[in-house]
Amino acid sequence: MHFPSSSTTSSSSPSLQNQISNTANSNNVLFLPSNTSKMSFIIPNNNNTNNTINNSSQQQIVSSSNILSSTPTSGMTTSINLNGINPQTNSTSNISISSGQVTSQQRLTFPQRSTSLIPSSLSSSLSLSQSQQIPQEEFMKILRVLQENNMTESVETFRKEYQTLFNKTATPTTISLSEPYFNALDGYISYVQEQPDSSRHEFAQLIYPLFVHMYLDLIEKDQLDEAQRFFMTYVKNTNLQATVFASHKDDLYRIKSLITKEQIAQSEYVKSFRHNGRYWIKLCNASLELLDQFLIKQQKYPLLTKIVQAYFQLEINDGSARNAETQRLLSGGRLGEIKTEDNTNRMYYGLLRDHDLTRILQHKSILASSTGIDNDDGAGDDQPSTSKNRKKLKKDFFNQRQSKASLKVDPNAPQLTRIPIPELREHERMDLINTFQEDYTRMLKITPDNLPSCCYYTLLNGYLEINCLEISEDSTLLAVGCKNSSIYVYSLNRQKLITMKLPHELERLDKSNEHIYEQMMTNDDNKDDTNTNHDNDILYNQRLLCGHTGPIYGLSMSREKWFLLSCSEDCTIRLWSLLTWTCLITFRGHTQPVFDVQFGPFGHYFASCSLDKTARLWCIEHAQTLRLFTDGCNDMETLCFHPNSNYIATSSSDRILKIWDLLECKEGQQMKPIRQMSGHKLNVCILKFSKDGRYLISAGFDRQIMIWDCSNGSLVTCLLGHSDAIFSMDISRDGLILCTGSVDFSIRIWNFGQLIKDKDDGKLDTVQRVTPSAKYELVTYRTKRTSTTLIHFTRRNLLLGFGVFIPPNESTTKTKT
Amino acid sequence: MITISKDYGYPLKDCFESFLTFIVTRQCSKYLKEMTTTDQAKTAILQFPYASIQFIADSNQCQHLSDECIKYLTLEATGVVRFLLQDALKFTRKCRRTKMIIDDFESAMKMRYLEPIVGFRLSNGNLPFKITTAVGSSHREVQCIDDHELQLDQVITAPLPKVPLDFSIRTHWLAIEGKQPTINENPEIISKADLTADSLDPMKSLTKKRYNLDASKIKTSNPHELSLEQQIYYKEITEACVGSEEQKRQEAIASLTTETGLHQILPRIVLFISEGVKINLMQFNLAILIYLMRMTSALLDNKSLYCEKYLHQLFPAIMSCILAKQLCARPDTDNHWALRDYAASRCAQMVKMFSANIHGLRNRIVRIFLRTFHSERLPLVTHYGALVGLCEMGQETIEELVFPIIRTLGERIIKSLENPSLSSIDKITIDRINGVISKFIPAAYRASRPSPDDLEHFKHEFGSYYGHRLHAQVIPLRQQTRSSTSQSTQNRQFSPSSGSNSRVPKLLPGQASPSSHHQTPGSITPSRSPVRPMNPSLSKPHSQSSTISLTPANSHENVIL
Repeated sequence: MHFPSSSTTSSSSPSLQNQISNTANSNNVLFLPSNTSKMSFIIPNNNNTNNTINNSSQQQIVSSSNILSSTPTSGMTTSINLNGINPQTNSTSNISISSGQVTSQQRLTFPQRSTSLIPSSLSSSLSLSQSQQIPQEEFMKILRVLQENNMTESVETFRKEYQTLFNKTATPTTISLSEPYFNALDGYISYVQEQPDSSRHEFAQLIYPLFVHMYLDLIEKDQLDEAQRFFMTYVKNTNLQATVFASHKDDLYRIKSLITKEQIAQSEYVKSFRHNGRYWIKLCNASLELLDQFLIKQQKYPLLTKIVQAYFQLEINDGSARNAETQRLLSGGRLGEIKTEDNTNRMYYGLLRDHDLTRILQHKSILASSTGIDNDDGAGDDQPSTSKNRKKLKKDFFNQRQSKASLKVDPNAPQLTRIPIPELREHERMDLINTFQEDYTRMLKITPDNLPSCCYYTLLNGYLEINCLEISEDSTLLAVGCKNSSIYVYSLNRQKLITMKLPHELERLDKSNEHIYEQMMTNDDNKDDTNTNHDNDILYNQRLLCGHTGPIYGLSMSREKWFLLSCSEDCTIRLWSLLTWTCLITFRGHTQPVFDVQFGPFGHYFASCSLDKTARLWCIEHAQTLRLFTDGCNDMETLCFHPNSNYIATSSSDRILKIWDLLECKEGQQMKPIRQMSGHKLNVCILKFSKDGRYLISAGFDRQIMIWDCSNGSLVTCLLGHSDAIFSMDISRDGLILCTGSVDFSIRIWNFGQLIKDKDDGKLDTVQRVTPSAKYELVTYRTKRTSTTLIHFTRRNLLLGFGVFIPPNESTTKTKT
Repeated sequence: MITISKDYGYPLKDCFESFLTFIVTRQCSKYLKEMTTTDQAKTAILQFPYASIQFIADSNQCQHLSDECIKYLTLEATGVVRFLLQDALKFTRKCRRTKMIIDDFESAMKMRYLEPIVGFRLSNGNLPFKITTAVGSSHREVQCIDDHELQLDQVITAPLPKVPLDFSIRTHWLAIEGKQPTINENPEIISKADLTADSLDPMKSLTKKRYNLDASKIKTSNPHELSLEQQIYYKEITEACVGSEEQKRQEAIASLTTETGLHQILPRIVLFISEGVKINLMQFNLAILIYLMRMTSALLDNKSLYCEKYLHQLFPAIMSCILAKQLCARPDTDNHWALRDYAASRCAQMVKMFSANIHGLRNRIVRIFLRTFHSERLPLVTHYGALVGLCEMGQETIEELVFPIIRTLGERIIKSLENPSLSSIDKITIDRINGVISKFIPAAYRASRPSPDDLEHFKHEFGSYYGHRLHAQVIPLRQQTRSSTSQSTQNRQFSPSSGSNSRVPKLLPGQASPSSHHQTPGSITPSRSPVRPMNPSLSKPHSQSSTISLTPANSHENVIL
């Protein structure tokens, strides 16, 4: 406290003397509210009006004493009021005593900044009392001091007092209350505009968060009208609109809908914006120094300094200033950008060697040596020669595989035991090898000259009813999750959906029989005949799974087509068996609607994310959660498993992508995402890892397809082309083609392989990160009235598109709005 | 009943909780209706009207609410609903919809542990709200529930609503090796302009494509390689069109009219038509010729096809059908007139369709027709065809070109009538020519020349043979016009503007033409013809097209003006 006691006493005592000397005149003071906004006091000199004025002055005294009695807790502040008002109210000795208390209390509580105000107000009051005029600014200044120190109650009482005194509404006070905010932000914006072109955008980063904090402050001070004026002034500013607010449109409207203090207290958004951490801003060294000069040393706008100190974190970016485009691309997160050190931990993004069948099988020599295997799978045992041959081939195959594996050790691959993965059962393994051989030899290679064919499944009569779709890995089963909590499973090829026999029937089976698997299933051939007349109907067979009590939001099928996971609004996840067509387990744990669920690439594990702001890792053998990933105040919306089953990526409502490590962290450490990526301007709808596990591709409502490098969390590029939200995405089996489906009734096919190749060759433009569609887009397919909600490459790289047909009358209303 | 104290703050909030829920349930559904997109902006803009809250308070037996209270309530209700809408948006987005539905809102309410609203769903998707104006000093709009009592009988006896259709999956090829097949399931990818350019200059589009074809390659390779499906389609269509089954033919013609993916087969079909006409003209196979003309008509009616490039093949075929000396084995009995009429109307349609793009098309066609009149050697049937062909082209052509011909035509007819060895064909032809002239000329004359109609003038213009006849036909027409115009447009008749004179008579030809053409389908079918009757559906496009071909009177008017 640097309040100079001597000065106050010296300044206050003459004022008191003055008052006392003026007491004789005091009764002559007449307060008249003038028509103009500024208030003036007319003091008639003639004593004729004495009688009438007497009453009013007595009232004033009563009211001022009221303050003391009614608000004993805020005695200090009240006394300040009185100190300020003293010359105005011409108080009696009673008040002058209280003003004596002021000095002592002021010394105790007043912060530094008020020092300049109080003496000046007093000194001015001195002059005022002499000139018999009190400018309104004095009052405002006191009010401001109070407000800046969050003395809300005293502000209230002070204002009430002022009103009763001057019989005037609070409008002039409110204007002045918001004034420092206007001034500060205007001042900062003009400061930004003074900066040279090369670094202006660096300073402009601060405008948006400053704006939001100021708006929230204003609302918290019950200045709704002023806050709205504040909002409109800056949001309507076209210059700011294009640059500063463009990345935060969604949040802008969210804060606009906050209009009362209580709402701010309740709002999730404010929680995640104000209390979930600091707004992270990256600046180059030079800019930071300049900013420091402006905010701390000059102290032109203390308000700015206060907000920046309370809510901001500035990080020095190595080297010179980034270009505006890069900065624009990476902006959009609710809390600004990502701390650089957050992305420094090592991530093992390589693929697991043992399970990486696809990559091995692609190798031609192996394929050549093992072509014999798939021909005689089941019934080969009765021919000893072939079986011998087969065994030999198989041995060769695995030997080669092993040698191959030892040759190429991916330094980025995690250890096999890092996350324990159940061993593949032998029949599963053989099944995999067979299918991969069969399909990978015939896999189409998609090149610019050889574009993929696309078979499109249009779901009719399902508009607004169907929530989500899921297809099995081998493209034979389609699961449809509905709004009415039912799940349908359709067979997409002509094969019937088989059911396993009942337990008592299973017991009777001869387990040594080699056709045991076929015998386990019910074979009702009779039904076949009845179904033949539905030949043209693709819904050859369908099943209904009932159990959930709310809309289904996510589905996931395990690779071997045995299990289906579904998550719903009823906060549960259910595991269904696709052999018995019953619900096996209900996983409870989430406390809010579950938004997404996904099987790990090797089954066994699955992850879910929910509106309760957590993502969880589960395993189908336990009913309890294995891992819990919490994310402060943001809903988790979508997730994606890494192909090596060691990581999951999630997108949350703060538009930041996070990659979480499934490995248990050390004791006492909080689960922290291993990678965070900001850059999306609206919610993300779909996430996918590239086939080699190195890149994360994300897309959503902001129409951008962003490709991230998992090795360091940096942005590779951003593909633009769609004209509406992107809902679906898939990568071809060879990992070279990216395909996206959007609400604009189009499917776009991108040359992902070329893009990565260009990136590795350093050909990719690192300055201009946005890649327009022309460069890597191969082709666009348009649908008539269907927005693609699921897109899938079959094992032979045929593209399958799925979408719900939108009736024409619906979209006319859409275009209208 | 809730008692409300005048001061407001936190305690009041608790006391109003139930009241607020009530407001929310009552009011937010209305806003749901407007939330059709996932636009955040809407939630921010939404604001409850003050009057509405007052109205709800009044109707909920809370009469003595102060202004402050209602203001507070309005703010609070707005805030609650905004929160709920923002939550509901999450669900809308998750379900990959662009439209928020009531279920999303219900989910949002559940998430906030509020009772979901019941009873606000109507089968038609609308919400049961109506807007009225509040009674009192402030005449502001108020939303309230349209709560009307229902008779139990009505509810019970009301027909059951339609059962919603079950999901079904439909499969099609969106793209085959990078190209989207032009089938009905796929949108029209190629724009009209592209197609027109393509049909006018196929080389341009070829060179425009991704792969660069060498010049030599283009020469040798056929640019329109047909797929197997297309080959089958072509075979089926052509067989059905000239086959004996009328049912199949109708289907084939319908397919040709509506199918969108015919661009690649079009040259083949056109070739089929032109070759077919050549051969069948020689063989006097009237039936096949008629079928081929119907195919032509279907191609012309197909909106996705642009035949500019094939006019050099189509026009000769059509003109041959109009002008041929002989179209059938027994020209005196068979109804080859129908074919000529039909082909003539197609010809006029084509001229109208393409003369905008192709310079001098109309002149060339007209010249061909006119040339026939100068040749004495040509039979009268050819004259008939040329006459019909010209007359179908509309008012302007009739006025400019047919009027001068009539005199020579009349002379020719007189000459042939005088000829003692007049064949029966010529006799019928003369009757037919007379029919055509009396069908087109009087109306055109009335439209172009003002009354009075002087017989001498007629004789001078149209010769002795037709002068009389036309004069006799024009005069009743004039009277008819006068009577009809005096009935319909009395006011206009008395208007002093002289321009009305030329406009008024236009009324009739437009009206008269469809009816006059409706007679032709009847006469198309000859009783003894071996030809299968042209199906009745033909009369529809025929009459339509003839109205089209006659309406150029309007366009002609534009040209003159």
